[in-house]
Amino acid sequence: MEDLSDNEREEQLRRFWAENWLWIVGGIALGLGGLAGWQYWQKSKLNASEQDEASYVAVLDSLSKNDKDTAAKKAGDLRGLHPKSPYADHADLALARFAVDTRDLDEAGKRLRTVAESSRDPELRLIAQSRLARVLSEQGKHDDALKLLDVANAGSFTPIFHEIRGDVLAAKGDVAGARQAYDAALAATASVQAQAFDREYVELKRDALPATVAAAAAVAAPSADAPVAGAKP
Amino acid sequence: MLQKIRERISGPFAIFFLGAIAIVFIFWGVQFESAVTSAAATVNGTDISQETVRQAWQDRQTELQTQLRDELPPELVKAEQAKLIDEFITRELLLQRAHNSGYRVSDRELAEAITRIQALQVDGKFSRDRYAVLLRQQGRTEPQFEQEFRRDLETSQLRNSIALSSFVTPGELRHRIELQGETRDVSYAVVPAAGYAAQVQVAPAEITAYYDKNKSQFLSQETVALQYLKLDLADIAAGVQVTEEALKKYYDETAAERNAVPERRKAAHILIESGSDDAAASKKAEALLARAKAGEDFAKLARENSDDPGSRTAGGDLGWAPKEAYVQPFSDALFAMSKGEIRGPVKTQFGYHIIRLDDVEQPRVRDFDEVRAELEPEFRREQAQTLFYEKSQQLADESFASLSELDSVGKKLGLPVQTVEGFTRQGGGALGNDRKVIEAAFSTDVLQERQNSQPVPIGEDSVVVLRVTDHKPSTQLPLAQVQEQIVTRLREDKARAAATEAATALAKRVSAGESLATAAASVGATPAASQSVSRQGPTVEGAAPMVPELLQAIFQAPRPQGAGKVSAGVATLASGDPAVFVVSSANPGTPAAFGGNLAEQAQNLATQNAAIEFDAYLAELRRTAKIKRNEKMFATE
Repeated sequence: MEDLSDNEREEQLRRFWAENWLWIVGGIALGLGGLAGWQYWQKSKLNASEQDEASYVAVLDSLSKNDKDTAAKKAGDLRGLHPKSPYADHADLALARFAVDTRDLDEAGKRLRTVAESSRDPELRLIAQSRLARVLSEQGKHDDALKLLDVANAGSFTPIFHEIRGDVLAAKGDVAGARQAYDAALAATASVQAQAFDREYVELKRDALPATVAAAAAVAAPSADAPVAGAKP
Repeated sequence: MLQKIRERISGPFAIFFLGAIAIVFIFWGVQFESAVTSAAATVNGTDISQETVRQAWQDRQTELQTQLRDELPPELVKAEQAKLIDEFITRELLLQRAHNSGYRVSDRELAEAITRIQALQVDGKFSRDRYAVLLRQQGRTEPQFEQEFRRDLETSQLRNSIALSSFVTPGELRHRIELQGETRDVSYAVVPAAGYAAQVQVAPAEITAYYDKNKSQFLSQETVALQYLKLDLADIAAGVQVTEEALKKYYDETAAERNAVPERRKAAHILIESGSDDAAASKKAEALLARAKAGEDFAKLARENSDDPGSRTAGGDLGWAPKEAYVQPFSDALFAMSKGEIRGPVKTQFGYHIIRLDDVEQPRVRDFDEVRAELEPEFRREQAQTLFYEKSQQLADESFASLSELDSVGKKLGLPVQTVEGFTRQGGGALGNDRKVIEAAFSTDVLQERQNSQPVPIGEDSVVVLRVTDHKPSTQLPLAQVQEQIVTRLREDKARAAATEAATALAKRVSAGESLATAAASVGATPAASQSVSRQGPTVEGAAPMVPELLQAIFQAPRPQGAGKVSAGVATLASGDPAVFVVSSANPGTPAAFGGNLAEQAQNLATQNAAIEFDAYLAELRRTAKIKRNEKMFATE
């Protein structure tokens, strides 16, 4: 340390302040400003989310009164204002369900497609995709449905996708394909967690498929030691 | 060094930088705790605190222990702990997803939801005090709780919205009803394998082949011969000498607590229930009291006026009872009264009482002769237990000291050396199949080293020490010894195969158009009458249930192709006998047969779909997340 008297020290501080006060005050001001801005941004984001949620609740209200037009309009406004809001997705999904219940499958398909293609939530996209495939199949658009069921990239939705593929193929008349798809669905439950998956119904659907040549032969000649009762691995 | 730092931190940029750091510390502070406690798991960079998981585990443990009424086996503990951490991970994943996706719960909704929590309500209304008290009990502040609850609400928005929009299409519903409600008209005939037993031949070569192939099935059981000493509480109790002197001493020691008889009083009362009009009841009681005091017959008054169904018919008599038998103001009054007094009205939770004290029995202590009969067995048991404990210790010490023989130990303790032959890993003989005894007998020390075992408690009242005197390891049984067994088994297998072959031939003939009755008659079997079955069993009420293997095979058989055609097949029953069955028609299920209420069915299926979808949603969240578990989380316990 240099050897300084008190006066010299004071003088040095004074000089330091004179040279640097702008930077110090500016730094503090900028910090405070940034903080306020960040909080304002958070607040406005929060407000927007709360508004979106209110709109979604309004859509549900209208649907419960069977007022589809008002519900559709509110959902449209919501989507227009905040296209990436999860509430916009759920409004469309609710409208899709309403459309299925009122047998307007075109409308249901349109709503589901929006969510399947534009939602920011990847798992919600998968749910919307699977629902869309079921609606398309119901409309007889089997090939369009199959195109949606990209089982290679379905992750934990693999059993669900395979099951729907089985349903679509069976409806299309491809019995062997359907059987394969159902088997694939059952096999997939071993590798992904799927406690709620209805294995029993998938087995039932598979067993109820019209007999192919191979299946008929199996029934005609059961071996003595293998129990007939569905003990497939 | 300091000089250097001072040089470096001058200059405008450095000052700006320090200012920014200062701001961060001023507004966000320093959180030291996160650096100290390690996490139970880390989910996408967010820690789940060990403290939280530990607390939850304590609750879960208590819950499980009350369910099982026993100590938890270590495997169960491990599985449950893993499950618990998984639950926390899933919850955290869902919280993150909901928050990052932009689900928000407004202050108003949060407030409404909190007031709806039942645990915070008093008389059906939200109570601020209760809210504060409960939070304090849990050591949490309102903002903490509200923040957490808000995030939980966000996740339920996500979950509920998926459930709300889930659907089942009309086609899917129809398909399910047709399939699950399907009925089939079927008749069947069992072809008993026993009928083919006589005609099958078993060649000697087959027996040898079977024996060679299944050698491991034909082993003698491993056995040990045991010597043991058994100490029994009951035996010791029978041998305890009870002297009059000792018994008297025991009486003196325990008299105060066990022989005291409290004061009892004999009373009668009249009860007037308050009901809705308290004042009227009080007035009525006052009037009755005046009449009773004036000398009217108390019993008659009670019979006519008392609201106590228990004592009314007995004229209000309550009999003899100690003070604890009555509720508070009543007992205080009764035990302050003097004999013959009538007092009232005394108010209790039941209403107004008018009380009469009939008699008093002073508290006293039962004397020796009075309690001798119950004292002796108790004293004997107590003595025996002390002796049993001492002798158990002695048994443990002596058998350890003598290492590998029990004769001298038995002599010292006055216990006979007993033996068991042919004791297997399933137990046997006088020692039964106590798991601890079996473990001890086959432990390395006892079996290989031929040492005396540790004392093994059997139940609470006896203990054994044992040693192995002989060991017969498991050996291959010679063919001659098991030949008969093999022949029986082969015969059975062959008879079943023959029966199945016959049944399959029958099924073919029936498929080609022959009736089941004629076909079955050719092998001496009689078919059961044709009946309608659903997947659950016969549709006719009261019909005998159908064996599940047969029912399943019937619904796995292809449907008959066209009118007049049948579909035949063979099912192997649990008994091993085959059955031929013929499906003459398959009828898709109808909504009517399905309970009728289609809308309800549709909603149920939509709900089920939602559960499957949300399950996959969570599984996918877990699959794609970065999860780090702290494997040592419970290791220290």
